[in-house]
Amino acid sequence: MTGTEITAAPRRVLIADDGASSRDLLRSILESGGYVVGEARDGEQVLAMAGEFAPNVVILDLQTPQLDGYATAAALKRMPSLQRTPIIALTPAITQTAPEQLSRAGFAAYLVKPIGPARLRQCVEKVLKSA
Amino acid sequence: MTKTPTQISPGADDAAQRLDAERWLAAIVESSDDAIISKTLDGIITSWNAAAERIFGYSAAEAIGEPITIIIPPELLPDEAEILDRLRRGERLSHVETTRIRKDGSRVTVALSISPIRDADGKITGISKIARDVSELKKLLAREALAQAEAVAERGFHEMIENAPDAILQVGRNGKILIANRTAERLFGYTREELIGAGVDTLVPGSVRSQHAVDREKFASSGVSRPMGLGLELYARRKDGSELPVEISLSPTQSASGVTITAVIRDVTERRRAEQQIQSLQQSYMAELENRHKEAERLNMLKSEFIASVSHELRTPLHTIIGFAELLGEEGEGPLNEKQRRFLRHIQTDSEHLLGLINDVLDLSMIEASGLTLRTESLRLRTAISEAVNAIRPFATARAVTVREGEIPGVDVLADPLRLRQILYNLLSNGVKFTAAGGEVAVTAAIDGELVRITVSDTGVGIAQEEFERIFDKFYQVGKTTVGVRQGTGLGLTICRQLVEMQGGRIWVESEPGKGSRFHFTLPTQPTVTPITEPLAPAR
Repeated sequence: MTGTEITAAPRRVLIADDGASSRDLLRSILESGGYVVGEARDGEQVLAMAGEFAPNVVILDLQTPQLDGYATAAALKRMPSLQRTPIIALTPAITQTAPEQLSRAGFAAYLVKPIGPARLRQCVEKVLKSA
Repeated sequence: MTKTPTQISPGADDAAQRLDAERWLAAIVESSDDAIISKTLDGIITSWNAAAERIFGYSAAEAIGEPITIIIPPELLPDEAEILDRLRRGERLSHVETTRIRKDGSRVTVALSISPIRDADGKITGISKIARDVSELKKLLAREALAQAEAVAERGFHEMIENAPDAILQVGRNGKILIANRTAERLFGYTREELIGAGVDTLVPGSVRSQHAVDREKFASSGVSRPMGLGLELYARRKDGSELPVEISLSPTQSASGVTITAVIRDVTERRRAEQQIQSLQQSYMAELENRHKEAERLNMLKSEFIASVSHELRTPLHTIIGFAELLGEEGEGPLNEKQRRFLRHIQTDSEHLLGLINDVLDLSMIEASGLTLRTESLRLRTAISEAVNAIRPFATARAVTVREGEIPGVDVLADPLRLRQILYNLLSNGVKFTAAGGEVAVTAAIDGELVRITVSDTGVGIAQEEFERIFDKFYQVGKTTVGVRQGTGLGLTICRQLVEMQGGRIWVESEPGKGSRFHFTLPTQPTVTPITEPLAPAR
């Protein structure tokens, strides 16, 4: 997705989380903020969907089955159309979060669960702005 | 006594006969090997024969008229007085061994025979003394005794060598055995006759025999002893061809016939066997230990995996509950009434409390289950503190508590970044929890020798001194005495202490109720400076 074709602000978010209620929460928060949301259960689905969905932001739960967040991020970075797409990590707890590692893995930002609506929206806006 | 010469020279007149007899007697006295001395009852010497001159060194002219005490050692004078008494009473003394002094002061051992001399009426008029020099005899006896003792010692020495626990050989430079003890016969299975004159090489296993002669020559010319126990694996060969493990000490001896080598050969068969047994025991213990270690590691791994999976299962629904409650609270899907808002606040508060509990329990279980492998690295202290402060800020802001980064030295610390963050986050969140709205939580740090001391202070309720230690115990809560403050699990500080100590530091608290608390912990510093990396800011 290139900027010239899009007149409206880029508002497409692809989310990956293995919990249905988690996905519903993320979708509900983002949709109420005016975003178009694509849902994936795990990293493999993200990779399968990413090309066609053409997200402006990808949100990856680090603990998804099949392909975890790190591997998925690395794979996305290898896709030419998604090389510059910012990726946000969802981490399960502050004590299980290593910012240096996330930074090295190419994540633009991270959010520690539980995800509140305000924090999520701010975070997405921030990475879109700096992207 | 006076009769005898009369009989010897019959036919002379009385006077002439008496004169002859006296001359005869004098000749006998003079030719005696024993000193023959006469003295008065007062001890004045009246006659002194040639032997007396020889034994005591005084001439007759010098001795006669002198008191007998000139030849008596001072310490024996009392004895002499007693002897004189006994003689006056008519007693005799035979072969009394005593010591006398010569004219030159040297001493001589003599055997004395002393008798009273009576006149024709039987009255005691003098004393005769025969002294035999027994010094030479004594020396002879002593030499005999010594020779006997030497012979005994020699035999003992011989027996000792013969029965030594080790085989002992003396070998000439040409390699021929000169001496072999009995133990050598037993050890090698040769008789002594076979051993003596044989080449010592016959006792050396064939595989090293050729080298042996070279080594022996080298050793003989070195002149230095070689002790046992140098860790050499040596073997000797018996007559029947079998080999036995040995230890050998060698010492060269320079004798008139050239260099000989004394070899002491110890049979170490039993010891080698014991060593092998110990070694095999050790190996089986090590294998057992390794198996147990592997099993323990496997169980730990399982436990860690289980905890990780439980943690995921427990947290995920709570995360969603909290998220949806917050979303509902935004009233984006329509306004809530006052009661609904109150219910929602309860859901939020209690779920967050529950999440805090779960997080702490899981953290502690993780630490205790896996023994927690630290990934210690050198990291910028300022960066780590900034990250933790940023992470706590939303929580602090919600409670109207200010979080401030104070003076932090630009050092690198040796720590596991994740665990350091966990310590800081726990201390900061405690600080925020126990500080009323409008208060402040601050982080400062200072170099303390090879360590850096990090301090998290708050303006909160404070802690009584008697609780300074207990607050680090599992499940202990200050909250019991603090009204109106809702606490966590009582595990946060326990986790902190474990993590700090694992990283080579210590943690303690200073506080006064009502005046806030200062939690200090130390970490080792890394002297070299690493480039500062741009931290990844957590999203807000």
